[in-house]
Amino acid sequence: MTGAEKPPCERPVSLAARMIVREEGDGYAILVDPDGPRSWILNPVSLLVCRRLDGTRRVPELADVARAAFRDVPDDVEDDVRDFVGRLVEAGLAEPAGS
Amino acid sequence: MGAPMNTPRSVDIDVTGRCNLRCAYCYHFASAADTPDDLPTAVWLRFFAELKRHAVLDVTLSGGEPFIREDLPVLVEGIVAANLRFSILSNGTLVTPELARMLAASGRCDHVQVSLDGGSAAAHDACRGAGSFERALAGLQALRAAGVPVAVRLTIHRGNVHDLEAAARLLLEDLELPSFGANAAGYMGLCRGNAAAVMLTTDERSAAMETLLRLSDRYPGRIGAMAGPLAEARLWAGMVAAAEGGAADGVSGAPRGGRLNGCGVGGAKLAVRADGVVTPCTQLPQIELGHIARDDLGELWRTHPELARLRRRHTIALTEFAECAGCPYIAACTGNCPGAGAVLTGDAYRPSPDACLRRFLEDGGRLPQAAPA
Repeated sequence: MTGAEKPPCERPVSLAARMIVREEGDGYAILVDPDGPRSWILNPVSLLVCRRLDGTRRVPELADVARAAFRDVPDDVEDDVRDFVGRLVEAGLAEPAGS
Repeated sequence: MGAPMNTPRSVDIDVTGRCNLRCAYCYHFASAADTPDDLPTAVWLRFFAELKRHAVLDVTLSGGEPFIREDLPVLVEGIVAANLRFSILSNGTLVTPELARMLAASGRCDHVQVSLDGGSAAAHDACRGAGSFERALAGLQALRAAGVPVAVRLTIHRGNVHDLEAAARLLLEDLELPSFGANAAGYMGLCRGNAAAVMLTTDERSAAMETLLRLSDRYPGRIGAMAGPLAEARLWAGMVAAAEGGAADGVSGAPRGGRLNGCGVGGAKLAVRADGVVTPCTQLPQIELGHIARDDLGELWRTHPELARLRRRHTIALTEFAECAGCPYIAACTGNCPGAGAVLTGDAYRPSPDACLRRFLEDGGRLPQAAPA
């Protein structure tokens, strides 16, 4: 399987350049699409993942980042990260490298 | 009280101090916001980039008249590049079809607010100058034709207070706007020198309340008011009911009453004057917090002592003020806008006399019988 044929989340992913990650304080953060009416509340793990969506990390590496940053991360955190990143890609809010 | 969030969500920006009109009640001219020189394009573009770093979500461009800036398309490009959404407050007279299409093409314009002060040229032009009604209407239509959302603000003054029925008919029936907002000329800026000719008398204020409530019944949910006779009619009726022991449920401000709680200054927003000075609000241009070319906006937001003081303003009890002593409405009163209070008393940490229900009634003011809470 070549890089271009891999499912989107198996490649490094970048958050779309227009997206705003806004930390409101008290651990509360939101992800805002200025081109759309939607915004999303981010928990601390999803905030960290969004911050690391810079086109250099794949889902397993993003899960490693979460494991390193937080205690008591569930064993299946990689599945959660894959699901989260997949939904961002599907909604056009993040882009796999090479796309 | 510290900053409620790390950085402001929104910033109100006077992108210019210039205007092609000189409306008799303009709050900008003859105020601390009236500064002689506009900042160059590059300074604003750098500022928009800073707002991006601070994850600010939106800006409102005002002035002065924003459409007077020939570089407005460049500024809009900078706003879009900074991932911001934006709104514009305008007199509408300089909006061309080309500019309207530019705004629509940006995809980020939430709305343009156009000031329309009446249902006829006579009513509108009374304070805004001959010919401004037709030009404002043309600008409004250009925006709608391009698909830009339009909001209309009607400022009530002595020259149009008897035209409110016609204004509502024009805006809501002839133009088929979904809604409009109505406020009133306040004792700020140029209005201070024109107060006798412009500001509503107590009788006119009472009549305007009655008319606007009647129009609100005729056009349900289509006339909004954050200030002015309609807002006062609604708020004050509830305050009277509360003072008389009636239910205060639904009274705007009543749950926060008894303290200087009239606005959320310092909560989510900052303002910038046309000379780049950062202020807490466009209505408090005399309180200088810093400058966009010199200071970090996030640092000002989190650490400036005056902002911290303003954020504690809501803890000041109205019982501390001699003018409030013995007032039967104090428990439901919030002291209203700090900006108006500052102009009238010289102190942003006092209640605004213009918003005083007891004073209004002592002056012979009448509240409409059927004012809804």
